[in-house]
Amino acid sequence: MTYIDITDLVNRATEDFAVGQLLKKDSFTLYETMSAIEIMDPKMDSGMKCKKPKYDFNSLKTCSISMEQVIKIIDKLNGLEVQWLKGYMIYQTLLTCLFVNDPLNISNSYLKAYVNGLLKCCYYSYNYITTAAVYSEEDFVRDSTGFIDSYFPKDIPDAEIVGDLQKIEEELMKKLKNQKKNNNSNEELPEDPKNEVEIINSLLARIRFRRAFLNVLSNFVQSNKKNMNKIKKSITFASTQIPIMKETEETINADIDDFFDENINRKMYSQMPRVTVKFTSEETYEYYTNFFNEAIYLCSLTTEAPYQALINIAKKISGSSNTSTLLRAILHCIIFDSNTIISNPKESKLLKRMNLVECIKEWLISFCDPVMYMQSDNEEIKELMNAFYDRYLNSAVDCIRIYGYNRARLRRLLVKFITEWDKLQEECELLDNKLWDILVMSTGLYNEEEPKYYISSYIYHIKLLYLEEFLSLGIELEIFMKHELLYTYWYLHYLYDVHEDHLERSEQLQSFSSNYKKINMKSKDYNLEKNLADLKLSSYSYLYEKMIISAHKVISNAYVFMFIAFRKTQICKNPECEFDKENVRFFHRFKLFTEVNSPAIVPYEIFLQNIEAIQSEENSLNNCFAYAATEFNNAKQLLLRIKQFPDNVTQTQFYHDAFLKDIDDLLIVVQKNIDNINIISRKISIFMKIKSMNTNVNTRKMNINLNFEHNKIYPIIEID
Amino acid sequence: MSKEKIVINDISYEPFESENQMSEITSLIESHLSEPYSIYTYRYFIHSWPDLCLLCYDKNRKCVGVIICKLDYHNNSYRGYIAMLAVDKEYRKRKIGSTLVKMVVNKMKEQNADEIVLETEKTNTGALGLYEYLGFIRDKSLPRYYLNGVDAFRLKLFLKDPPNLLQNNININNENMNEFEEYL
Ligand SMILES: CC(C)(COP(=O)(O)OP(=O)(O)OC[C@H]1O[C@@H](n2cnc3c(N)ncnc32)[C@H](O)[C@@H]1OP(=O)(O)O)[C@@H](O)C(=O)NCCC(=O)NCCS
Repeated sequence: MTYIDITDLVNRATEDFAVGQLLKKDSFTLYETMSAIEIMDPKMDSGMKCKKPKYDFNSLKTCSISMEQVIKIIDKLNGLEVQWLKGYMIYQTLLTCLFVNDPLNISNSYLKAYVNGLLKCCYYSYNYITTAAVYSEEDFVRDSTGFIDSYFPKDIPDAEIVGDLQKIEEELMKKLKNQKKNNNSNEELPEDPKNEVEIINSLLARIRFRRAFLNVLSNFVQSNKKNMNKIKKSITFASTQIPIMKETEETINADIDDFFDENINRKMYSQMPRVTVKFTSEETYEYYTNFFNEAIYLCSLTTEAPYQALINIAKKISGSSNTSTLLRAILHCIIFDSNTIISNPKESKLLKRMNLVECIKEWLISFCDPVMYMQSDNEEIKELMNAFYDRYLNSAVDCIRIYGYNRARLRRLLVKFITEWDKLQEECELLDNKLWDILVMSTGLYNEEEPKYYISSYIYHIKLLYLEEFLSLGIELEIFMKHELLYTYWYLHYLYDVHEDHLERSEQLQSFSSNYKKINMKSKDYNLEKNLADLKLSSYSYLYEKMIISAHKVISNAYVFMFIAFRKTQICKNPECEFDKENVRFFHRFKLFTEVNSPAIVPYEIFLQNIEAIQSEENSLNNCFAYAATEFNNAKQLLLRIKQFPDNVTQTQFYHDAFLKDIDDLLIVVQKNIDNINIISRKISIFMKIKSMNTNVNTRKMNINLNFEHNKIYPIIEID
Repeated sequence: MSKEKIVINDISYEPFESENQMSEITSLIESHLSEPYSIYTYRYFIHSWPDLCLLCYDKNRKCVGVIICKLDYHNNSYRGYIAMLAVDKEYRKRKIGSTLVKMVVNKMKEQNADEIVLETEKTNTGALGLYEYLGFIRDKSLPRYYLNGVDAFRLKLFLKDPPNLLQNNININNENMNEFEEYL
């Protein structure tokens, strides 16, 4: 092919242009301008001729590499692996290493074994993430060409790769022994024996780490008890290597620049602005450490459990500071048996052994026990109930799936999700009416009674949980700013209040059910003893749910009073700019509530009336602090009782230690706030006195500090 | 077209006038913002919405601040977007940045915009402080928004008054009010 120089042509064609005039098609919009590349600008043009790399694939095959270099290459590869897992393209990360492009021809046997181990890990990671499919483009880049497959050694069996790594470990161990012998016999010492030992040890730690990591990833595929035990061991083993790797990262030096080429991707199809992926080794080790810390919880997923317990573990992993796309993907693959749930939710098995419909039934029983419908012989009722289960399946799956996505997106997902539940609730109200009519007709009883809203009450309960989470996430993700916290806690308190009422009302459903059972069902219908035990368990679970809601209610109320005091004293105030309007902010923050049927939206005016009523009370400052302290104390009592429940009541079977730690952390927050309230109120009253004597004092001098270290929604409040 | 200039504290605020200012704009922005923008990006904004691109000059005609915006429809709302904002390091903390933003906000209000949005890095305390001081709120958390992998916030300023909800809801909410009154 020959190239033609068109400079002259272009110059002539553009002669009539004014400076800065641009000729473009209408379709050249913002997106195109942003992704356009300025030719010959080294910041953007990845096709620019650069300095010729030292090695090509041929000379690479025969180059000699020192042990120090191997270690350094491994460290950089680990860093790139982590950046890839965090969302950079494989072309910008792992494939910038020349060896990764041609792993079978690596001459150095250590490096060859390592790179193959690494690529096999990548193969597993890639499969988990793409199979679970709970990521967005910022979290992970899927390769749509299928090209990526050719880089992974998927045809080499794990055993072979693990075996190669093991062989090297043995070889290195031997070397170490010889070193020691030599040292002892004092003959022919190498130049720096101590250094030599350190180098071998560092390499050994890295090879061991990789083998353990590969074992972890490969064993999660078959998540049975035996494999989970293997994983636990491998996690411990890998975790002990990390400190050694970290330590030697600094002390070993070698030049490895020639083995990496950022521009290598321009030979491949990928076109993008040239971005140098920057990272620190700390970030790399933190990623691995966090992964292992959290993966331990996944190993507990070997027993049967109620669906709620599965939701809870998904929630836990989503909310953990150790979380990652890979971790959440593995969790989803384990729970949903490699995501067969999407194509066939009715037949697929959770944790490879539990049927989803059965789980849904259990959940429904534990909430309100609609026994007259669930165990009915009436064909019409049976049909309606089955239609409900079918309709409900996808929503139930979503209850777990939404926690697979990046938490930063959870609020947006919840908006869609809540609107769905709202629709579902509406449908279920109709269903409840129908079921009730049939029951009244077929039994000839209950003519006098109000219809019972079993199913819709259950759906409403779950919807309220999501609404509460939606608002709480606004605080957790730092979307609500300090001056917005008053109305946020105020609204949260309203939600918890509605929820508490709802749970109290729903208790009547349970007593209706137990009466129904006494009258209509003979003991032969079911195993009485088991049923009683189950009932006791579910009534404890219900009590626990009520207590949790009440605890949140009193805590949010305590913050409401604290922030009313800060508002009154202007320590925390709205921006003083003509563009800021609190009522506008309030409307948009709670707009979702205008889009759902229940609970009713509380308009801004009500909020303001309520706040101002409290503010204008006599002695309101002291009262506010006193109320807050009382509410924190109430919370403390509730939390201490909540801590006593066993894990099958709280449904935290898979992470009960972490659950207790969370409660303890919340207790710390509550206690610290109780302690601080005295100091805060004293400081404020002194401050207000000075202010009333001298109006020039700037209220900005006093500032509240919110410490979210122990809890992401409820801070410890300090003042300075 | 007459271009109005406004002088505040010896700083002159002026709308974009000609291509000759392009290099002042790009060099000021490039030295302060992390994203590499192609020249097309600048032209896209500046030529389509020249009145929403403001520059400011000191007494010696040194360009010390710039803001670049657009205004068009997004879904159902008429949405302003602040694409770039920068103030010379030597001139910060003198309300130049906030004056630039206020000026474009007022222009957009005049043109009946519903809302104004922008993105900024979570770590950019200067920009976050400035926009929040002006009444913008954080609307979304955007993970890995920038090419360099840094997270961002989408900030938003709502310009229209909300509908009155009070009429429809007063009954239900009195119930809630009672709750509070009981408490006190
Ligand atoms: C952000 C930037 C434009 C601010 O310009 P500026 O002229 O210094 O801002 P102003 O003087 O108008 O500041 C107004 C208010 O914003 C807030 N603010 C400004 N800079 C701040 C900072 N560094 N930290 C905290 N708050 C800050 C303050 O509340 C300030 O009010 P105050 O001075 O009464 O405390 C400037 O720092 C800049 O050019 N940064 C680099 C480019 C950039 O980040 N652009 C925004 C990307 S979207």
